[in-house]
Amino acid sequence: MNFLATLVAAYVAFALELGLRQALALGGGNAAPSFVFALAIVIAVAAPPGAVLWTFLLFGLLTDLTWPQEAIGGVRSFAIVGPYALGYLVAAQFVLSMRALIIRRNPLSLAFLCGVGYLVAQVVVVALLTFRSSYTPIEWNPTQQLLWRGGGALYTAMLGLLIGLIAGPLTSALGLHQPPQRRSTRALY
Amino acid sequence: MLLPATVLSLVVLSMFPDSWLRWVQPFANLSTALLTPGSAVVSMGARWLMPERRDPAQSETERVLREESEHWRTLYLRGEAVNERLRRQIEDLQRGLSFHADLPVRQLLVPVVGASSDLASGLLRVRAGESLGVTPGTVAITSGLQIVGRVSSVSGPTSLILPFSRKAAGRVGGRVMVDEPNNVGVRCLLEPLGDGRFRGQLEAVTATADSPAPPPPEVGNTVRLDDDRWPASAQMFIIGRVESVETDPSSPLRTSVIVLPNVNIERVSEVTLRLVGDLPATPGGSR
Repeated sequence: MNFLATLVAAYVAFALELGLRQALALGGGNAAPSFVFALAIVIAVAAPPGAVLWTFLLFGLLTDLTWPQEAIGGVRSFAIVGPYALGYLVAAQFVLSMRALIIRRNPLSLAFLCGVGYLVAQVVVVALLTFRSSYTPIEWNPTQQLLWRGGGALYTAMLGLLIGLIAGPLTSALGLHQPPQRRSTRALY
Repeated sequence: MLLPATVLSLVVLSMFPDSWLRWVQPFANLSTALLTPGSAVVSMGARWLMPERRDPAQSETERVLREESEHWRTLYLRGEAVNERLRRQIEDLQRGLSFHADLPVRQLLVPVVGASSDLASGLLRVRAGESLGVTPGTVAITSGLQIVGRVSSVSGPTSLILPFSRKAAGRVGGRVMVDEPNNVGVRCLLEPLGDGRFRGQLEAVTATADSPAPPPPEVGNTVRLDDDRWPASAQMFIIGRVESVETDPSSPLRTSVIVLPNVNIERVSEVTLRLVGDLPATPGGSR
């Protein structure tokens, strides 16, 4: 895994996440694709397990740090460390257990992992924030959040499908191992 | 061994009350400062490709003239509100209370350089920080004197604005201008619904011999800010327009209004910050 190339790709993904997400949001501005998670999945499909876990953890930690929480009633915001870092870590474990069962070079596989993996991560985020909301002054409706994040998971799956089409060159650029072509399957790129 | 220890620390940290996590803020500020240049470029590109929707029937000159007329109307209404406040202050002074003169207001047009990494947070990040005199509570408006919200935190060269249409921003006092040419308005307390709109019940006004009952609210009436918890310099700015008028099921004699801001608050590309006081002195002293 090329550390420098991964760093550059992560910077671009975070810039897209922070700058473009609002513009692409659907459903009253509450469901949007996650560029960071899609990149993490591209890495997860081909990188060694240890690197996958640490990459997801760091991406999650950065997402937590760039997610200021709105305090109810007051003119105040604060950062919470943990929800996304743990959510992404659980998603990483899920992807690692799934990647042996899928056709890695098929864009549909990437779309599936993006959608389901993102949903797994969001369930953890919602669970932790729901627990926190009992003693932290934040506006939080778990059912609504799960619905919106479910929409986000579908949207991320669609993004995964698009990224799946360029996953080959992207994986090479990140210095990741290309899985050997199976005789029984036909690659789409 | 390192990974389980990190996971355990994160589990513990994620449960900490927010007051115990203040030390995290410098790291959040640092990561934001590093990522803001990239997100600002992407944000500008996105807004260039997908600009805000404007009324196609309205020309640029018409828009500017409307904005000018709105500006002077706001100043007039605020003047009236100031007169009313001064009258009250004179009464207070006569009872021995102190008087604070109004501070000067500077306006600063700043671009929105990004949002949050999670859409559950509607905070807008703008490129203006402490060096320009931005402080928590600074009011942000956009074109047409439409209120956007207030600054919730300032971190280095950027600030976060909490849109006033977010539920976390809480209720806001407004005045439905039921007869705008004659400056007749009815007060109401508006509550954000979470989808960008507000709902509020109108204050009951009893007719007297001197002042007749105001006309009922109608769809399209302008709603202006009239809330003592907001700075005086922001009073009478526009909250939005009445989208619908309904009778409150819990109290049939009361009328409720649904108010929609004139612009999509969470999609604004730039805002005007209204800073109270003079520009802060730069560190190191004057030359």
